[in-house]
Amino acid sequence: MNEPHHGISRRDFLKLVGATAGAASLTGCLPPKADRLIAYVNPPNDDIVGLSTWYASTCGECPAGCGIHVRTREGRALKVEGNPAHPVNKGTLCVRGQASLQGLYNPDRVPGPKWKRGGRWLDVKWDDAIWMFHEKLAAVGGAAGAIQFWTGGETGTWNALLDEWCGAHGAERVAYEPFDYAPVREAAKRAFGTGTVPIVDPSKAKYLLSLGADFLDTWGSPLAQARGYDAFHSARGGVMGKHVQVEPRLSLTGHSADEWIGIRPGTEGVLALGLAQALGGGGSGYELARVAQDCDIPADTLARLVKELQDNRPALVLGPGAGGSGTNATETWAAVFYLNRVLGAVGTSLLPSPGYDMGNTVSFRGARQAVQRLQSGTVKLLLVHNTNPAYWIGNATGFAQAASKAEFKVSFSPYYDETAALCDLILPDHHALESWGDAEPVKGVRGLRQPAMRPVFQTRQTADVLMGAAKASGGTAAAQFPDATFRDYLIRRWGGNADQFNALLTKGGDLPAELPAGGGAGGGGGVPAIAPPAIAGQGDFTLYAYPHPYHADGAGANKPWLLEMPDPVTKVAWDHWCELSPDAAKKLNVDYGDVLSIDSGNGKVELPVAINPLMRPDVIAIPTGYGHGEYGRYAQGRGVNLFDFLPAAEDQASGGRAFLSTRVRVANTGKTWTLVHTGGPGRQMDRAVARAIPLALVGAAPAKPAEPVGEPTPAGTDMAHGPAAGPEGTPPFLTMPTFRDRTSQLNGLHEKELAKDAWQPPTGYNQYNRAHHRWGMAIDLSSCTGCSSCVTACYAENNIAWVGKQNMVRGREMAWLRIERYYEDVDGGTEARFVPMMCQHCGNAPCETVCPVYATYHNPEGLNVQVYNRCVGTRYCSNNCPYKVRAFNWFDYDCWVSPLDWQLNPDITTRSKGVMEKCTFCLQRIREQKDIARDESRDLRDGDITPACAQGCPTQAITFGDLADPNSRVTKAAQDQRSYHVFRDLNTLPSVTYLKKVSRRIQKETAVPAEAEVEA
Amino acid sequence: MRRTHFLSLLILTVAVAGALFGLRSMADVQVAGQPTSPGDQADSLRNALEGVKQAQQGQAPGQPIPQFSHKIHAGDNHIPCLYCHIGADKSPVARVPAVSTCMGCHKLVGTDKPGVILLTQYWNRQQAIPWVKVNDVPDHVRFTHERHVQAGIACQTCHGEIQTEDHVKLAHTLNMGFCVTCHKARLNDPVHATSLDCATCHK
Repeated sequence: MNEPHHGISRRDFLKLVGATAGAASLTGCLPPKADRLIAYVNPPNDDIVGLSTWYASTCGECPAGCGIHVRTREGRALKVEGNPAHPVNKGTLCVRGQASLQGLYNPDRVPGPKWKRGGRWLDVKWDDAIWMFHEKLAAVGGAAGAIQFWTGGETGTWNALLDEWCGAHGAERVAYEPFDYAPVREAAKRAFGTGTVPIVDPSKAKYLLSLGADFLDTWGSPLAQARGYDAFHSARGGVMGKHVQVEPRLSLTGHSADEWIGIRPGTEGVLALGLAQALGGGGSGYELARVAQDCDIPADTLARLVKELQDNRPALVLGPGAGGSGTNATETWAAVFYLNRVLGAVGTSLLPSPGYDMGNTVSFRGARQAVQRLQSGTVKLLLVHNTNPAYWIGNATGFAQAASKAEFKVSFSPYYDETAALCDLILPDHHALESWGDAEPVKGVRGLRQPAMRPVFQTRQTADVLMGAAKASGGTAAAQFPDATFRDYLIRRWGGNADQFNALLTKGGDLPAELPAGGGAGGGGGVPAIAPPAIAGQGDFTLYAYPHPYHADGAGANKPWLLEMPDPVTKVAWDHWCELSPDAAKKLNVDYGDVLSIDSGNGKVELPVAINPLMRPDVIAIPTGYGHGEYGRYAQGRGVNLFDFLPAAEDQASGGRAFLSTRVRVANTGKTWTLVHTGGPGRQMDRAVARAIPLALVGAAPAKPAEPVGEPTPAGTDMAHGPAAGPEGTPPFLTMPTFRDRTSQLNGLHEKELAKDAWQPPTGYNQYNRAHHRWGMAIDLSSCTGCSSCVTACYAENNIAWVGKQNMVRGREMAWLRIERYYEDVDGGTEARFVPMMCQHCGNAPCETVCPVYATYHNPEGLNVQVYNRCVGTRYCSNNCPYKVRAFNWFDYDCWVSPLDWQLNPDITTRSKGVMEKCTFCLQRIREQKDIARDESRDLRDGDITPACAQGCPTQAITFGDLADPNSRVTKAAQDQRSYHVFRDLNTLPSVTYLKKVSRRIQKETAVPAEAEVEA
Repeated sequence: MRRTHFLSLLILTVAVAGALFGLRSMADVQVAGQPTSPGDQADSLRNALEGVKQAQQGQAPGQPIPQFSHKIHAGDNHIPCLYCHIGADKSPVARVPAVSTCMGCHKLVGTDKPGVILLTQYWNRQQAIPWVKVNDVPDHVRFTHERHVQAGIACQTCHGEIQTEDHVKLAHTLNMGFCVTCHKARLNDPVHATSLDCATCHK
């Protein structure tokens, strides 16, 4: 190289880099660089830094349209809770609503407008993308049928705008959702003349017969139904309705039932007509003997059902959910409605009018016809919003191939879903938590939706994009949309008065106190006829495809919380599975995790097995929602897309999709799959964790005198047998000994240690006696339905890491709260019991005594506190915890992929590697409420403090409060006859009291070994 | 790049590294003797960290608007602390005033002064001023200004005689010992009794 060279040579450069790197590594030893204080330039009016700001809105996760309150801090949404003023959910929230935050902050959202060139997505500016959209619209020129607009089932203003826009542009609107209740609506139209899904209120019934409706997890409006169900079934006041679940596979709803009866899939309508005829409702040809044969239910069971229905009127009957919808689903529901009329449920517990509006969806048949039009090539421009036909009906209709006929395809999806992947342009919509809008799930219940924060990504609300397009096209379309923004359009639809609108916004909308009960609408007609379902295919097993309680139609599949949280029935996490009965599993010689091949004749898939204890042996059940080809890093390639695997069968009358439509050949492949399931053996092994009390004994006086004899329990602290006399000045129900109790007076266990001076309380801790509060929790196992809403709420509130499948296999999940699911052999079958298990905040905590660094200790208010920065990670505490509720951070989990980390709660430390963590009773919420009470110069009131788990619980099974207050709800609950402590014989003196599940099927309580000994 | 330039750059880099290393050694001076047992090790670690904190104490880092003076605002002109730090009596966070708060006065007051000109530039750009944090507690600490201010604790108790300072300096280390000393002393205060429960501050 003879050229004179300027600048720096390679060798010099390397030397310089080396020296700089050396200097940089030295600076690493010094204290970190000072943080910056970034203040607002112009502070917003409604935000106080450091305090939460709440926005009332409407959940967008499903058509139930529940009211929500969104907690924000410094402009970021952190937590979603139910709006107590909303008549649908009344303050509660389901798993999917809780997890909507991970949809908002999903790292796989479409960050801005994208244009596909040569098979790759290119970033485009919004102006350019909008221009492109306008050009394509103009090119179509408003020709009839040239635009096809696929949307979800929508209600309210957005639905009206879509119809208006489609009308103005000559576009065909196809609203499609896979679970659209088409058979129920068609049957309701025939029976009552309504065409909506009837409102179900079990609280008005004495008897509930569900022929497969999973009304506590996915069917209808689960939160409203769970509330009514709790009033019906929780045995408060000693009265408890009987719930009988008749279905081919034990569903989550079936776990709460008093009796479970297996039925041949697709014969629910025959059963309904048989019962109606036996109850004197008319009709002929459905004698019980024939019904027994058709349904494969013993005739004496049917006779008993008839008698029970006869004696317990009004009785409510529900038909099958999506899983049991065959080609005769409409007739089945018509038969169910007919039976309800016979039983007097219509107008009391079954309210057809006005009913739930699930949006003006076309059925599966309508969607197929739309795809045929798409296939014919007349559609030039395809628009898709909030629906995913490529995933739901891709295989059944050849959607992808048909869509390729359209000249230009625009998706408004916020996610890269299967349909968006087929499109040419993505104009991403806001998430529901960033949007304006409203929802009218029931006529007369109008919830408003407002943005809780500024958009996370460069997205725009589709309503604004469409209105802009209409304006740009000029002419009549422009005249139809005079408003500047969708918000203005919304205000106009809400009466046009902005002040009034803002006042309604703070309440969450125009909400009546209760769901409107129009009662039984007209109609009626004779006894419906029913045909057996057409089930195609060969094989020994009928395929029962049911909606997954968390993922449902697959929309939740990219949310790590929902994948990490075990399925409430099988307790499988992260993976897709198929369910078999124990008998069938034995016959095929398979167990949890063994892989089966499932062949329907037009497709073959392989899935690992999970065992469901109550299932017909000729049924194989598979949940929907898995098997995404696109949609994001967590959803992709996980399991099988059942919508594709199912044949394209439809219910003859309504055109709804027949999910129950095929038999399959099932064979053991001999392979095994590492399946995470956290259920253990599902049995209690005589440890009496989940206890029950016979219904007959509820309200009866305790058989024994209250005070047990010979236990090392301090006087006044026992409550397993009702109130005991306490020492002077202490309430009799106190479950947690005071510091004084522990050190001197009562607890023999510590005397030795104290004598040796091995453990002395640090200076100043004598203030323990001054504590005003004694926090405690009561959990009613009779109310718990196992839905796991509390678990999701806990993840959201407490910055709990999700660890992924590989770590879950090793038992490293971090959940502070888990739902333990036990099966118990009782009279005539198996009974399921759920126990929400979290830190029991023991008064005599085994974890505290073994911590070498005093990182876990007991605080004056009865909390077992974990000081994270003091913890050195010996894990002794977890070892010594009989409840196994402590979780250890084996790693710094890489789970808060940006922007998921935006959701982290700043009131809690985010724990790092080597630290033990556990339930805190939501200490930060206790502090927050204490601060509020002090600001208002008052004492804390009962009910001020609700931990995240108790807040959202659909049946309000969890009560939290002050055990030192004799009038608090938690004290009352703890004094209940049904109260008990888990592992009471270990003398841990927990602050969590469980109320025994009320069971119809046991005659006496199972003896608890330790107590039986004591009482003998 | 000429050789001389390169050499001078290299020397500069080495000098910076040396200075930083020296600083680190100064912090290490606090660790007396060699650790002999795990307890000693923990002690020496604590001492070392304490040393770093001590080194910071009394320091006043440079600020983006160096002319800003608490002495002029709070001292000479007797502007109440809460006029700007509006969160101190109602939120855990005292708040640094928004640029709009500063401009509320400085649209008219002292518009010719260099600091105010700097401020106006930030305002015209609608940009936040990146003030450097002087008083800070670790992320696992839950400190609430509101409770302390409402209990009548003077700002100066923790922040020093700030009304006399042109440049804010770290008056106290704000470590656990600092908090506990005060909490211990007021444990039996008849009106505002403090708590020594760990969960009071550790979150």
